[in-house]
Formats: sequence, structure tokens, C-alpha cells
Amino acid sequence: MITSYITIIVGIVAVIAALSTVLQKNPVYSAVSLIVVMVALAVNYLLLNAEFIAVIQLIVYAGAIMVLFVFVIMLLNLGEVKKYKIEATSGRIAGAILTGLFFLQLVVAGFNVTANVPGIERFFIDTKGLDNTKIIGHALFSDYLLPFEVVSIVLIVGIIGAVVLGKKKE
Amino acid sequence: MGELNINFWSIAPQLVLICFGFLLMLIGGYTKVSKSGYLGQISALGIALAFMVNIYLFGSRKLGFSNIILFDELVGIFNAIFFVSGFLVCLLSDNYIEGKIKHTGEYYALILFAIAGMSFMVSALDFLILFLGLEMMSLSIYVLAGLFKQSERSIESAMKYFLLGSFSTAIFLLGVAFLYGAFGTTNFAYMLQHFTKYFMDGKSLPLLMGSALVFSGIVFKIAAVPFHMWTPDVYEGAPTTVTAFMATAVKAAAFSMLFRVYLLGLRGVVVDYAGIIAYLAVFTMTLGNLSALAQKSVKRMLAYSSIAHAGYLLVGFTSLNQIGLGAVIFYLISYALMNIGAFAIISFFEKETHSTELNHLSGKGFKHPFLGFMMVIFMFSLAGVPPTSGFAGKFYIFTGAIQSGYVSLAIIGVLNSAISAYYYLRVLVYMYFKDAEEPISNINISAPQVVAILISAIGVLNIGVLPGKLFDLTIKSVSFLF
Repeated sequence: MITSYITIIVGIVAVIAALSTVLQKNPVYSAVSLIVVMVALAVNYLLLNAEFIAVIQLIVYAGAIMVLFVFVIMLLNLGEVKKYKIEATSGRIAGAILTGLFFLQLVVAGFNVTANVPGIERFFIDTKGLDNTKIIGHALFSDYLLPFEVVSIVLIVGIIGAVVLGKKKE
Repeated sequence: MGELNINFWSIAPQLVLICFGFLLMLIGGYTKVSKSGYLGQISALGIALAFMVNIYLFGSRKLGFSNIILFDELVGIFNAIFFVSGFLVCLLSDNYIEGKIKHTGEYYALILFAIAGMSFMVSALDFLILFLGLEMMSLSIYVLAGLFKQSERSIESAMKYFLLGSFSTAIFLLGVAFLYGAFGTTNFAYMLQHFTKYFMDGKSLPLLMGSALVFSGIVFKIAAVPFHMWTPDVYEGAPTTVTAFMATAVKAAAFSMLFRVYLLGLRGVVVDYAGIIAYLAVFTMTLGNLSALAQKSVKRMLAYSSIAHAGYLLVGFTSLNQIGLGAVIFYLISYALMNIGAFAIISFFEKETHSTELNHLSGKGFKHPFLGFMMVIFMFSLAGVPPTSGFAGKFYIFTGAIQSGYVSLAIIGVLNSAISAYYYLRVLVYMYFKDAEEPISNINISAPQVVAILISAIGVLNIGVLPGKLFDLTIKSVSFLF
């Protein structure tokens, strides 16, 4: 019972922090808010008994955001915060209303996702006393072997792109 | 969750492509930029090899990797489309990118990786691998679009495509998450099973939401209305060879997703979507053709025309019968050939005049008889004039639509192709009936480029004159659905 309350509280924190990430004018505050989102998600993973994913979430994302943080300080001119004034044209208002409706739909559909999904029994793995990390390892190298390998090619493409596009003109 | 059936044959063509991709990067690193012309031939060789493997496997059914990969005839024929377009683009790039792209090895490697990604997409039997294939393809294309680093338009094109593309991918992924919530699996085969078991009397909200989000992700890649806004800018700014690749292979890959997801996994909702797709098809055709009328740049005109062609293809998909679906694949093949040919000729003139404006083409037809004649073939085919493959494709598509009772859709389609004849033939009018504005210089065309153009021209005419055999093949490849 207590865990479900914590889940809700952490969820609310995550949403508020996510909004703050988008709405902050100062990029440093945005980066800090993003860390809060990641930590809140990690807590939720922990409550779902996924310790390994929670830890990975913290290490990878918090680490990545620290890098982002450094880049923000190095590359952006923090002295002047630019002010954008967005005029409310009729197109923008219509767009905002449509987006709101779309979001509402998403939320309603999301609440309709139930735990008793047909065929969910298939996924109740007999853990045989194995811990979280071992189960994930087994899944990665058996059923999800090919996706695991294909991800490496996707990453390679990303690296090539970064090098090729980022390289200085000769 | 069954036994581990690793079956390397099911992904053999992709493996060949990936190996050649790495090989090209390695060779590219050891080659001087000025002497890197032969890299195009090597990558074409790699694609040809993959094509050979594909033909060897064609006709068999191979499941692999815990039932997340399925190689069947549909995959074989879509693979053939990707490989042929990639092959032609690699041969055509030869002269065109010289001096403009320093990273020749990476250019070709990215093309190969993109094709491998498309192959993964079409042979996927699971949303996980479908999504990875999609990302592999999209990332490669984002980079390829921005490879003309001196040109601001090219950078703009890459940036626009990247931002909008990642947004559409996020929407796609959200849809997959909803579908996972509805079915408890991402595997198409299980989804189909669960559908007949649980959703026969009513479709749940997460299912509808998920299928709608996935659908919009796919429609973005197809570049159909209402997700077409990025197309003209991206197609115009990217290097012309890359544009040819985007307009043909990427579109074919997006349609392969439509086939895989909506005719296999989500087969139960496809009838609901046919009505929506019919409207999308009408708007896509009409908007594409009307906007193309007003364009001054041939490249931008072809971008709008690719939107219009997406509309014709959607008409074929709407009919949901064997002829219509077979016709979609048939049309994708013929569209790949004629469009790559047209873009190739534009790229030659672009290399000479540094512009793709229509009035720079004036008088070129008689001065360059070979290129002029080829352009006549491709433009006639795009407009759908009888002895070419464009006509045969449209004929089959509209036959399929009429057979399913979409007579009005077929009529709108025919009217649209009549409109399109105006702007395709205008190119020829400029080339043959206007006087040249500037002195005409020589155009350097290398042997591989001539070969590529001849292949596409002969393909267009051959399919146009004798469409029966290929059409039987495409019909056979979708027969398992009926």
C-alpha cells in the first residue's frame, strides 16, 4: 500500500520536473530539472523490483547529464538570457487546443492500460532464485540477441555521423 | 520465449551489407580523397552480392532469432527494391559527389547501413527489431542529407529532417508502448493470435491509440498528407543522389512497414484504417500535384511529385485486395527506377550549372541528345504514358481500387495523373522547345553513371512493355495474406 503512494508521489515529482525542464529560461536550471526527472524515474523502477535498471538509469543518465551540464556552461553564453515573445496567432491557439486534446486522449488511453493484459502469463518468468541482473543478461543473450547486436550498428552509424558532420572543414 | 533458433540465413543479405559497410570505411581511410572514385563500384559490388544472396534465398521461408525475423517472399521482393535503388545510387554518386564530399568511404558505408536497416525493417516480426531497423535507416539518411557541408541548404535539410524525424520516431515509439500495454507482447505473430482471441468483440482504447500513433509514425516516413511538410525542403537541400535514395528506397521501406505492421500484427484494425487511408490518399495526391505545378526548380518539383506518388501508392493499399497490394509493390519498383533516373539526369545538369532551376534546362535536349532522350523516357514514365512502367503501375493500382469498389478514388487518381502530365511534360518543353540562355558546356559522365542510367531506362521500358511477369511475382508475394 505504502509503495503505491510513493509511486504516485514520485510520479508527480517527475512530471513537475519534466515541465520545469521545458519551461526554464536558464539552460542550467533545465539540466538540473532533467536530473530530477531521471532520479524520480529510477525510484519508480526500484519500486517495480527492477534494481538493475534503476541503477543503470542513474549511472548512465545522470552521467550523461553531467556532460550536458559541462557543455552548457562551456558553449552557451549564460550572461544574457534571451527572451522570446511568442505571439498568440490563431494558428498557434488552434494548435495548442489540438495538442491539449491529443494529450487528454493519451492520458485516457494510458489509464485504460490494465495489468491483466491478455497473455501476460507468458512473461511471468520462473526466476529460479536468479537475481535481476542475471535475468536481464539471459534475455539479452538469448531471446533478444539480434536486437542487442543491431543496436551496436545503430550506435556506429551515430558515431560516424557525429565525426563526419562535426569535423572541421579542410 | 521458445528455443533459441539462431538462423543466420534469415539475415544473410543484411550481414553482407554490413560487412561491406565496414570494409568501405576501412578502404576509405586509406585512400586519398582525389582517388576515391572506385569506392562507389565497391559498394555497388557489395549490394549486388547481397542481391544475389537474396535471390538465392527467394522462395523459402526462414524464421530466425527466437521468432523475431521472418524471411519470406514479401521480404525478398522488398529487399530487391532496396538493393536496386541502392545499387543505382552508388553508381550514380561517382562523379557527382567528387570534390564536394571529403568522406567518400563514410558516404557509401552509410548508404549500405541504411539499406541494411531497411532490410531489417521489412524482415522484422517484432516491433523491437522493426524500430531498430527504422533508426538505423533514419540516422544514416539524416547524416547523408547533410554531407554537402559547404552548402547551407544541405545543412538545413539535414537539421530539419533530423528534428522532425526524431519527433515522428518518438510518436511511433509511444504507439509501440501502447500496443505493448494492450497485447502484452511486441511480436507480430503473438499480436495476431491475441487479437483473434481477445479483441473480436471490442477493441480496447490502448489498442486504438497505439495503432493510431504507429500509423502516424509510418505516414511521416511515407511523406503523405498531413505529415508531408518536411519533404520539399529536405529533398531540395540534400545532395541530389541522396534525394533520389530518399524518394525511392526510404519510401519503399516505409511502405514495407505498412505491410508488415498493418497486414500482419495489427491485421484486425486494418479495415478501420482503410477508410482513413482513402482520404489521406486523395489529399496527398491532390496537394502534391497542385503544389508541383507552381515549382520553378525541377528538384523541388520532383519532391512534390514524390508526395503525389505516395498518394497513388496509398490508393493501392486502400483497396486491400491482392491486385491492389501487388500493384503497390509493382509501382514501388517502377517508381524507384524512373525516379532515380530522373534525379540522375538532374544531378548531371546540376553539376554543370550549379542550379536545378527549370530555365537552366532550356535547350539542353538537343545539345545533349543521350541525356535528353533518357529524360523523355523518365518523364513519360512519371506522367504515366503507355509504353512505360509508370503507366502499367497506375493501371494495376486503379484496377485494384475499382475491384474493391473505390471507383471515385480511382477517378480522382486518374484526374490527378492528368494534372501531373502538365508539369512533367513542361520539363521536356523547356529542354526541347526553348532556346538556350547560356553557352552550353560539356558534361562529364563517367562509365558507371551511364550504366546506371541505362539500367533504369531499360528497366522502365521493359517493365512497361512486358509487365505481366513482374506483376505475377508481386501478386504471389502478397498471396499469403489472403
